[in-house]
Amino acid sequence: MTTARFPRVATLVFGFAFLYAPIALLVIYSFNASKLVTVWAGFSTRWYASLFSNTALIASAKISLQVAAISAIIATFNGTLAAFALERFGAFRTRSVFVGAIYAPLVIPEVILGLSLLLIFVALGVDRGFWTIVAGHATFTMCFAAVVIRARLAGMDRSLEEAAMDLGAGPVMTFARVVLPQLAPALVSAWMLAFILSLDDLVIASFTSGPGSTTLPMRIYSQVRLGVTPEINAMSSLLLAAVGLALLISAIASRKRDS
Amino acid sequence: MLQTPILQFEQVSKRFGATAAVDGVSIDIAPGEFFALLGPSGCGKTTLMRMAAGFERPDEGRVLIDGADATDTPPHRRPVNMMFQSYALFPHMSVADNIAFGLKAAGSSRDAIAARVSEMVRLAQLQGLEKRKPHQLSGGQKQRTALARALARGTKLLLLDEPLGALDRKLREETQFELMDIQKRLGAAFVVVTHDQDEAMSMADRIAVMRAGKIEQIGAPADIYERPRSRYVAEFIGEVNLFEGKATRRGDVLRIEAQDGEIEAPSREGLVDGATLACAVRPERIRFAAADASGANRLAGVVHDVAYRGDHRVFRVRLKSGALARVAAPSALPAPQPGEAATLAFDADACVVLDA
Repeated sequence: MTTARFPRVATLVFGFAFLYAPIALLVIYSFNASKLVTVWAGFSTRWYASLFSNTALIASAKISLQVAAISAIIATFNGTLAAFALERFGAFRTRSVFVGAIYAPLVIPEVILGLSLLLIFVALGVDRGFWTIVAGHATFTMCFAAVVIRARLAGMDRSLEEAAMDLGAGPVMTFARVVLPQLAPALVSAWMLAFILSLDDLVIASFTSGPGSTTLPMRIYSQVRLGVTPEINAMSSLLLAAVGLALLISAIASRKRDS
Repeated sequence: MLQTPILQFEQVSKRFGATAAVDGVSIDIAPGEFFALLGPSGCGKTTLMRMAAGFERPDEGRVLIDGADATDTPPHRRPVNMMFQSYALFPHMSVADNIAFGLKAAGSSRDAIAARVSEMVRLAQLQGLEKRKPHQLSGGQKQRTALARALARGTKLLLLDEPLGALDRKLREETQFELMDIQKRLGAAFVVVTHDQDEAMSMADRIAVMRAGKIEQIGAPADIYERPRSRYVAEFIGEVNLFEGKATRRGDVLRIEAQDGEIEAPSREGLVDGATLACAVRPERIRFAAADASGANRLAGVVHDVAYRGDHRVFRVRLKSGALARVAAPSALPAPQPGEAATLAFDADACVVLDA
């Protein structure tokens, strides 16, 4: 169908342009020599250099990475437990309620989630800061982790576990030597997903953060309100690269899992 | 005094929802015996085996292993090993690590494990494949790895769930003999679950034919083939011709007025005069007789078609009633052509009388 070729290619180009042109623009302008974001004045890496001397931004990046790493570990652990409960405990009576409860945060508006977290921290008298962000992120990313791990668990051959038990392995050895190695790629994927979600979250972090614990998206957002600087572009480009890398690793892990 | 059975089912029942998968089954399996659980899919044979392995708990009854009640013993504490239908090889472990798994679980020393693994590798003819992962093995190699892994711990009872099911035909026959050979050498009891009657007949010392969760008949293969106790068993094992009719007893002889002619069969105790009974005759017990032969056990018909099987031919003969009778005759003997009239004959003792 050669006649349909042009509209098809045009649709494709337009679609991708719609998705990625703004991002490409951001990356391109991060190499702009000019301080004016909208005026191209030649290639330069000066904003990357000045970025690394912006201690506030670097500190926020550090906080973000730490929050993401720690909350992703908690989310993966809890997500694993939830996935096992849903997948391996048979059709227990409150199972469908539990499934709904696990999946609901995927669609609950973040603002509501953030607000409720804030309320509970206030009610409990917890000082808001680094650990409350970690807790908040672990809460909502756990649901995503549970989805990923549950899918893997559902596809796993139960007879492998039975074979291990049959060969004399108790529950602990069966889990450690047979289930865990099978599950590992999904755990990596789940952690990566939780990490990325935490890294780019603004809303929940805003509700749960306290003084001295400003995450990178919060820092960028507050700076942009004062005007976009090429430094922000550079930071965002690095963030993009980090997320892209994480996605790539996650994709490789899941491909390995499928083969 | 008889030996203690290695495996006993005592009035075992298991229900899944409303259906009884296993219904009041009792079986004793002797040490060193090659036992087959035979039946169509859904007859409960796999459930029964899984109860022996400990993956299902019977709702009623007991499972005894080597004389000890194992009904509530978890799988990892049972002196039983199982070879799974899907093989269930650990995909992330090499052949050698798969075989070593049970030994590691038992806490054997490193040297003992290495020695036992190489012994099993030799037994299962897996030399040179020790470092391969399961996905790098052929179907036959996977099967042998699964067998080696199940045998490595040296238990006296091995359960095999459709051990040859995934192999192609030629390999299946070869593997049948291998399994029999290994079983004899090790002296362990093998319990095989299969839906393939040829497999059960050629390998097992005894067969339990199952139907809808119950045992229809237990016996040696020849016993079950020659003297089926029910129509179901007769039809499930091999080919059989059934002639039904009203039966009258004359001393030692039972006369059955079948639609296709009068049949004489040996009588036995407990047969009711005037009841409708069936006479089962195996195809190889029927021969072609001269056309003018008369009397009982002579059935007239027309040859419908012939299937050549090498050493013998299978004829389908259309009888008066319209039923097709099967006759197996050695290829060397003269026989009628398709379309020709034929008279079938068989001896009275070729008949097995069954409830219709």
